Amino acid sequence: MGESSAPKKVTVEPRYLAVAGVASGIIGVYLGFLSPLIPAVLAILPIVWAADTVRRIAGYGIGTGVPSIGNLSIGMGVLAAIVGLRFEPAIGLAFAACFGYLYGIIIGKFKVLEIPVFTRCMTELPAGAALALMCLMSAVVGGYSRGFFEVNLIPNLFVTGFVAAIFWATSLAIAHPYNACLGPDERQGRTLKLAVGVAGIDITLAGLAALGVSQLSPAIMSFPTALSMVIIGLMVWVGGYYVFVKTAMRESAVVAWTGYPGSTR
Amino acid sequence: MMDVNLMVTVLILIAVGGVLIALGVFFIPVGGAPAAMSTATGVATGCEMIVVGAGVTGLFMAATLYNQFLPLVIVTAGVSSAIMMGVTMLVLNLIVVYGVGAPPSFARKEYDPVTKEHVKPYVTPGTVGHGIPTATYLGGLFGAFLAGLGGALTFSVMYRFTCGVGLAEMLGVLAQTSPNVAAIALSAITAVGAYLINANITAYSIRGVIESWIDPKFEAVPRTLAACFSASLLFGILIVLASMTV
Repeated sequence: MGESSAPKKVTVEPRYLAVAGVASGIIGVYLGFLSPLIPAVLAILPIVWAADTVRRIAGYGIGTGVPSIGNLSIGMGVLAAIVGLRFEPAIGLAFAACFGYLYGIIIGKFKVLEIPVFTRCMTELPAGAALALMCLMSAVVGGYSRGFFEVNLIPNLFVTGFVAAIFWATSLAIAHPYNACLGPDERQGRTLKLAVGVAGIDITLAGLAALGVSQLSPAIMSFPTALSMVIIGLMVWVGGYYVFVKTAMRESAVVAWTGYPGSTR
Repeated sequence: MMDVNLMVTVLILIAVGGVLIALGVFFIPVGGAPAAMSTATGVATGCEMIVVGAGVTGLFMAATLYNQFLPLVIVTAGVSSAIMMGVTMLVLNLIVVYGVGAPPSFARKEYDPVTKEHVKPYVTPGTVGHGIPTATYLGGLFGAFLAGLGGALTFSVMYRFTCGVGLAEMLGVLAQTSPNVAAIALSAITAVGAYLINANITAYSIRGVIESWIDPKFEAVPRTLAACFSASLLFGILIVLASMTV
């Protein structure tokens, strides 16, 4: 893929996605005390934002595969997210953006990789990943509140190991949409529809972790809340994929069914 | 409250761990997707997965030996990582030789630098090699050893820092009789984050395929290691903030 394939006409301006992602992520983390469902649902927009950033950067063809970008974002994002949940989520977001920017500068300075949008994308990617992780991690243990890191988060999320599932599922949600849709006919709108669907998988997994937490510590997470998180995740998952498949079928040249049972028409 | 000397030591050790991991990957023959089709020399997966695989193997060993003498922990983890990579490369060679039916070879050099065998005639036209010949195999073992050292160093230092021990215990024997599970969980996740950050610098530098130490891309080592050192130092600040005493 050459440079010509990178900037194309877009359905949604990346600027608006960034604003929407930051706003919904921050609101989601801070309103977690009302109900853990709020951060779980609002984690969709940061994931969509990060997936769009992956789309912009991987369009240049960096030769290492799209998932590496998703993993990089989650590697930086998880460090910032832990710092954010420990001290203050806004600080976590600021750290993610600043450190990502400096990382982009380092990569450029040592001439490891030279593509024009790298520094900007490296600022947006960890921020989106950190926001998504902060939302989901706080949603699993019943919403963010001051000082909940040592009391709730560590024993319920880290010691049980649920954090690993959320970590990799968020990485998948960020990397998968563009990885699945890339090609000459890739279109932003379609890729982002898939991103919503994969974000549903992430929320479902967070809901399953919340089901576990509801049995371990009923004080911070009730069983009905965890169950509704799973149901919301499943709805987003199925709905996102339904819309994505419909779009893909509408935009494809021809769809021929070759599976079982054979076509009767 | 926190000792500044201790923090600086932790930062530098984390950065050294990152550099060791990055250097290790340059020695491992990474084949990527072409190797999965037996059209290139190397392990049939990407740099990312190799780095994380080798690092996490070191992490497991370091978590098992959480309270031992630090240099011992690190070397043991390096050996375990080398065994992991050795088995991976051996199985890949078995598949390539007995499954695909292609002899291990590479087109980069006329002779294998270690065994002096004539390898180039065995390369199928249109490909750049198959399997893992002796020279790259040895390079892979050494690279996995280095990466395991780096992974264990990063994890052990983070774990001991999270437990809130002093400098002597951090570099020597840890006076704990049972593991602090919360600290292990927290430092394992932050360590994987650190591996991924270093893995990507290496991956961008290698861009897909490298044939261990006989590859011309090996010249990119100094600036990649400098970039890894800087990035690890940078994110070490976040790691130190994230893993202060639980």
